[in-house]
Amino acid sequence: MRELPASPTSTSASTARLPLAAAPPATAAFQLSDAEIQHIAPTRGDRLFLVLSIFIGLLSGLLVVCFRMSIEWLRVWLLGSVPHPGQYRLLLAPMLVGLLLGLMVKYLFPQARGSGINQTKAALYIYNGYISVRTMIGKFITSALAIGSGHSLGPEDPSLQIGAGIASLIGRRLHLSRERLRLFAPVGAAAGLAAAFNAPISAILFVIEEVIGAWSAAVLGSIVLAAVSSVVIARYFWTSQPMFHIPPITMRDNRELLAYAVLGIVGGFAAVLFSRLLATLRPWLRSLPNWTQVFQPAVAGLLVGGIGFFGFPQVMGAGYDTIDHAMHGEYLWHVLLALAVLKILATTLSFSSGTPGGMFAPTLFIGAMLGASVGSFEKHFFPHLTGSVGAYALVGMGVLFAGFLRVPLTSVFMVFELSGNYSIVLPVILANTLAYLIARSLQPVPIFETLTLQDGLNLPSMEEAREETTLRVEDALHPLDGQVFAGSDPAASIATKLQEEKEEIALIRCARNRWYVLPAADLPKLVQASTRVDQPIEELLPDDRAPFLYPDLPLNETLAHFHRWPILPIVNRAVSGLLEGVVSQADVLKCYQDHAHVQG
Amino acid sequence: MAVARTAESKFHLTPTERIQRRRLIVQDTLALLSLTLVTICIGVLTYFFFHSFAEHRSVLEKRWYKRGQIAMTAGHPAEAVEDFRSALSFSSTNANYQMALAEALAASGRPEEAAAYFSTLHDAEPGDGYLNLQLARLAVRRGNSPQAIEYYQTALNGMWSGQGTERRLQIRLELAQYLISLARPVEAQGQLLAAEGNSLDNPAALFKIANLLRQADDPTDALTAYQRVVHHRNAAPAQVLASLDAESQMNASMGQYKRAAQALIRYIAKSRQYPRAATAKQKQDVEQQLDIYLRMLQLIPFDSLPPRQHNARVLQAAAIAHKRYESCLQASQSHNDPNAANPDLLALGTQWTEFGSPNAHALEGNASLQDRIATWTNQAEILTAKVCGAPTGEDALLLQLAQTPDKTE
Repeated sequence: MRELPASPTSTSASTARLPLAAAPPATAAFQLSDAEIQHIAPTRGDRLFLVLSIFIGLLSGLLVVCFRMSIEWLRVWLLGSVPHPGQYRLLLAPMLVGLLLGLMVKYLFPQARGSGINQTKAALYIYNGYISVRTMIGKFITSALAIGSGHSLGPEDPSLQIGAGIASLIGRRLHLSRERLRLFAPVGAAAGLAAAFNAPISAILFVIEEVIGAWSAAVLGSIVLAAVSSVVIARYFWTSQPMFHIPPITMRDNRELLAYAVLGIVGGFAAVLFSRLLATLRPWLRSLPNWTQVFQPAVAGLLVGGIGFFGFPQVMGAGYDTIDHAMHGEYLWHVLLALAVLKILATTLSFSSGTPGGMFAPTLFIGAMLGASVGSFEKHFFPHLTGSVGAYALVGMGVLFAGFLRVPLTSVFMVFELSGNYSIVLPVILANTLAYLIARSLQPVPIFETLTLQDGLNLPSMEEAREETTLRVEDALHPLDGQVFAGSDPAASIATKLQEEKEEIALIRCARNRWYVLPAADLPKLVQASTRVDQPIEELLPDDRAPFLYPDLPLNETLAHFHRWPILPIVNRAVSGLLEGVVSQADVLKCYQDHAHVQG
Repeated sequence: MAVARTAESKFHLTPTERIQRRRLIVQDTLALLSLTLVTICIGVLTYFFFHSFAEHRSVLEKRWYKRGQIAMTAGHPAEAVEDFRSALSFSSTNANYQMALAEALAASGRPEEAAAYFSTLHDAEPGDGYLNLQLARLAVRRGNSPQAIEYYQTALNGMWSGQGTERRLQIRLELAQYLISLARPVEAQGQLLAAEGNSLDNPAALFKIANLLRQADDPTDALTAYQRVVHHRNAAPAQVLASLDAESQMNASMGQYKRAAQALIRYIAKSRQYPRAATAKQKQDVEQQLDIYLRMLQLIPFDSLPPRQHNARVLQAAAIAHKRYESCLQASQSHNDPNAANPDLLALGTQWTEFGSPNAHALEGNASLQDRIATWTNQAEILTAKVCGAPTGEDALLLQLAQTPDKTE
């Protein structure tokens, strides 16, 4: 994402492409500002957002079906119906198409580079949801050509970007507000991914886990609607069969969990190796002279084609067939291991060279091969303890997903959804967690973040956000250094006591367990206003009361109240009105500063 | 709440704002309509695009499947595996292709992979008879007998598309054969008797059942099954002759030489009626066997014979056996030290002397003596065969009779 998107066509889009801070405050429909639209049709935005989510889902689903069909057509035309080692087209097709892709990416579709996930995140966080039509078309054409010609890449991530592109286009055409336009990118992304995977839950979770980074009620409903709509379309064409044909999965013995733990460890190290290779080769290739960029996809294509030509055509393209075969135990363990290693190599070459295409399918492929390899090995040496190889391949896919893409929750649900089988829950959770922990400790920066940093962008890290410690009210809480008065106490007696103790603030316990924070400076006015000597102070106080704040609330929730109250009483959740302590603005600031100091 | 807000904002709208609001509604409606049209257009295009490729894939998958079938027919299952795999790459859910691939894998000596495929199919249709049968056969190959028997049983109870009765019968026979090979004859007999009950109109099946019953150590039921074949009006002449031959052997093994001979007589008669049903060699063998049985029938002292004739046969057999005994004793002594002859032979000689000179008169009315002499005859033939080798001629017939404890007429 080195360049800003191409000039958009509409007025609203031209504002959308600017960074948030620099953008004008409103978009236009009939020359109306957002505020005007909000005034004359306050519910329009919400309703339109939901209706459009369905259209985004339908259109994304249709485009993803076309995209997958294009890949299939191209694969048959370029590589033949069933590629076999020794066919010269395996060398020529990826090389020549690579040359064409180099030219297209250099001169026609510069934004089509890469997988599409970071571009979608950039659209969300930097470009106000703007993804140009040109980028979307470029992604479609170049990714289809790359995958169809045998480059070791997958269609899922481009599908995600195509979905986000559709969402962005629709949002712009309907002159939605900048805020909604931004939210549409993840909605479209979920729809595109759901259609590509034929797995709505995984797509929704991935977008929440990796793109948005948080469960947002504002966007969740739309994401679900869009994902479901797109999957309906995908299933109309591809039926509701799971993506892979999973053989019966059984766990013979609880000791087999040890074998899955081994798989988790192997997968964790493989994920680190894969990440490091990519993180090393990609910047090196980019540092080469500019004119070489055009030829890099061709060279990568030749090398990947060479792997296919000399015996392993399975590594070319997305490789779903091979995953299916591995699941049915059709390869010996050392062949599976070789396929996993070669796929890591081939994908690193293809992706680092700037060839457009995704990382999901290769990740699944490598994971499945590693899993089946571990499963076959263990079946060979411990036949009584090991279940079907297919189960290992399936768990292996989740393992690499967790370790390489660093989306632990999505990885677990993806396995369930792809297999339609929940009996494998324990091995999946165990192996995925191990792989995730190993990958995280050995490679602290996730691959998507590494890639964005290489591109000169600084997008928020979802993993860091997940790991972030939330400061709570109790962290800044301290006991009241003063006196508590009852609401029935007369104002004069309170004033006298405050004066005696030289205190500046009084905490008044009012009716219904509410609290009032009274500065000493306000007391003379209240004393003057009292009509009799013993008049309770509560009758003299203004109507508002201090908010109910509890020790477990996030600390930032206090900030909004300091303009009104000099200190905030913190009460117990169980015993209504019981005072736990107080916090002041200075306490809160000090707490944040101390935390920042500790974090370094 | 939203409704209230809308109502409130409507209430406060100026005439210009109302017009703007209406224009906004019209604009959004048009936008949604155009979006619907765009979606329909892309949908139609996708439909045609998808179906054009689906047709192309269909052509390719059929081509690969056909190649696989040809390879299988030509006896090249390894090639067929690749072809079927290619067909499956275009239609991965096609159960026929999966089945064909699994069969090819099994035929090319890869039972584990084949089992994985069949298991996948089985998971989808656990009650399918054919799948269970294939899984049973694979389990047999892998030596997993409990699983094999379980799959066979499920196949028997499973669903079959057409010819269910015939297929179930074949599976039952296959299961029985497998049980026999596992040395579990009693379970095999159960399966075979059940099969027999379901195939009374099928002489070919009856003949197989009879053969298997014979292998499962159930001669009585085997004999009954053979007889059913013989008397079946639709039975093929070759099966009738084979059944008669088997019936004869079964009867002989049970000591029923008369029935054995009768079966062979019927065999000869049938073979004359259907000259092509048996080869000349088979006919010659049967005639020789019949001759043996007839000669044996001449030697056996049946209880039903008149006493004089009965006693004469006892004496005739004893004389033949004694002659054989004498020559064996001599041969035994000439080869070794004369004083070191076989003690059992010597003991047998002592028994003979106790009979004195048995004659018809002495035997008359003396059932005990008749039995003792007959027993001696049997023991002499068995012992001399053991000491001096297999006998020939009538001694061979007597030895066979001695080895058949229950001779009936």
